[in-house]
Amino acid sequence: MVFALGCDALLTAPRPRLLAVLPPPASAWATCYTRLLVLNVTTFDLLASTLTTRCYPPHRGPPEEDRVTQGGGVEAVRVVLPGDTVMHYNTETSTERIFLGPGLRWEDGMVRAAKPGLLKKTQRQLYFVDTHQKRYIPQRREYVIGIVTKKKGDAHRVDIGCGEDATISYLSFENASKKTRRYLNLGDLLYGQLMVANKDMEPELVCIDIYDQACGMGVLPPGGVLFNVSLHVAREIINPHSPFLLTMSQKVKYTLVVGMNGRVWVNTTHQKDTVAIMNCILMLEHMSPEEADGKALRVLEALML
Amino acid sequence: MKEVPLSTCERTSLVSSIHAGLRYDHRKFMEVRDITLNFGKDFGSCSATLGETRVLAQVTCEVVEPRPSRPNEGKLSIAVHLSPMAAPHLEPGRTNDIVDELQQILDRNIKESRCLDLESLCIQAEESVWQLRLDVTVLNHAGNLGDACNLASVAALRHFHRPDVTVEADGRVTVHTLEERQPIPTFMRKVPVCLTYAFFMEGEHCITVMDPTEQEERVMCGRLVVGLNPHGEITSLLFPGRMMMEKETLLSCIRKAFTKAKSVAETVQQAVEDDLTQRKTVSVKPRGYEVKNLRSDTDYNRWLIDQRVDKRKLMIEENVMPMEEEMQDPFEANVQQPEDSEDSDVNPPATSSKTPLGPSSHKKKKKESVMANGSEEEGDEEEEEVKSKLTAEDLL
Repeated sequence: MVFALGCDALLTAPRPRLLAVLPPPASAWATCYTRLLVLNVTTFDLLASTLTTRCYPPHRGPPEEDRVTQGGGVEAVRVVLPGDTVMHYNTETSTERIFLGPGLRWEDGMVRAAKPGLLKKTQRQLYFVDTHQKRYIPQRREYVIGIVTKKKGDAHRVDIGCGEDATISYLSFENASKKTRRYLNLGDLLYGQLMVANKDMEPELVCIDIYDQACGMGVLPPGGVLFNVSLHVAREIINPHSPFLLTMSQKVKYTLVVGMNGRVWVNTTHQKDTVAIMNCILMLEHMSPEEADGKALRVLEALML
Repeated sequence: MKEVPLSTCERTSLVSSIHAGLRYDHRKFMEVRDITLNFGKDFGSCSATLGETRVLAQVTCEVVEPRPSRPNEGKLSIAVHLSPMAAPHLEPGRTNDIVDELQQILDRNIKESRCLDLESLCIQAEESVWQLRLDVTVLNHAGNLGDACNLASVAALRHFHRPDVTVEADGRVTVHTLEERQPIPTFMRKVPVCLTYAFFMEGEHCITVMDPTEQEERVMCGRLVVGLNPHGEITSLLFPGRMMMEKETLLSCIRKAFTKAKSVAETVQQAVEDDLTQRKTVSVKPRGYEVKNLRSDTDYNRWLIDQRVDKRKLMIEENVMPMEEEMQDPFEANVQQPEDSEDSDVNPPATSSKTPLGPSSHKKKKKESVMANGSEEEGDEEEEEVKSKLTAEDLL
């Protein structure tokens, strides 16, 4: 349910609900130790706001004061390079409870940086490395947009923008069986979830959830525009706290699908509006979300001329 | 790494939007992206940007023996380097189609057009001549590499100064360092310009688009790369792609290219002269690369966004006061600006807010495009009015 936020659900949801951050299910955590939590990128993004402020019941949303201070309390520690030791941590001896976000690894009682960037720390002992990156590294359970490149027996090969192509079985669509199989054309766009993603195996996509429902996934309809953004921009767009999409929707009605691999698909009724929305989102690459949000309406107006 | 495949969605949406008269970056069909030229501290090092495409050209020289067939001429060698830095799917060190094509364009435009006076590079006939080596490195590939490489190379060659030499009576040659004696500029008679047109077919009708971006290059049906100079000579003509075209379309493209080439050549000449005069007054030591003048993509894109918003503001003001004199004003203002912003090639975009980049050419471009698309624009404006009404109603 939380993950569906990436798709249309985000736009159809009424505003107050958007601000509620649901704690992800425990199984979504990549690794779980007693006092040490290692988070993958998706869970990190959903958790980050919770960890910086306070946990609150999902149905109520954050209290008013939290909305103001959200994102606050983040302290930049230093610049780290891959391999740098951040701290020593032993699950048996250390009493402190810490969270490790993306870009950090815990091995042999040592926390090391795995990416170059700015090491940041929140008040609730969440450490992560803030990096800007364009190359996608597959993570299980993430939603991505792929391009069908090849038919291969009873599976299709899909390019998801990482080093290796992903595969998708023709059975992993809603209502698909051996008799009613789904035919994909080469060059089609797929919105799906990664089932298998680790460094030793090729990634595998599915277009159904655990209840065999499509839940917004599947082949994207014809029309619309596909473009690429940096990974942090893609995460910023679907950040439930970010008002950017809602600001734009005051001007144009649109459908938007964001893949965590940095691909974004937009559709509106007019080509002109679609291109305007695209350029408006691309603006996020060059400025802070707050600034972009302030400018969004004026830029949209100018582009839709 | 392999190239990302092109989806059907990307292809159809770009083509349909071109058919609807709209480019993804909101340029007019015949509008070229902004050109900036930056010179390093060394003589003959120049980085050119064309929108987000970025190319670095460096000229170096050495003394070599001349060819036996041409004993009193210097040599010029051109090498194009493409690395994964330009685009991740390009492999380093291996020649591919893009490198070959660029190499060919540069060879024809610069070497075979004989725009550079090679005889002045002779030190002693049959004994020793200067060899100029031009290294062109593509730093970022965002479409239209041919134009960008040509721009950078020409500017670098014009900017280049070689050390002075004295030949003594007994045949001894002394090469003086740059500190000892004033270096000697290369003598370039003509400024070769390269211009690219992309063609999109719509049934029988052919749509011509200038200065294609990378996305447009992947989708287009065919392309025309013309190398020419403002003196009315065509130095190269490249027409790849599987498409048929009428003679008239081709000729009109070339005719338009000649008018365009003049302004581009002026920009290059102006930029080089500005830098050289500034160098004389400040007496820059020719060593290393100065980073200060480089324009960042972020600044450029922010500037573009601001420009668009400002344009919109102007139009709103026009609608409020629909007087005929007011309507003409913005274009006149645009044409007048270049005088006071000539030095802005040197300034980083952040400091001068009004027109930070490649100003004179940019303004002229606008004027031209206005003249060329005059009839189309009127139609557009009507549509725009309808649109604005619609959006206003939607908001209510």
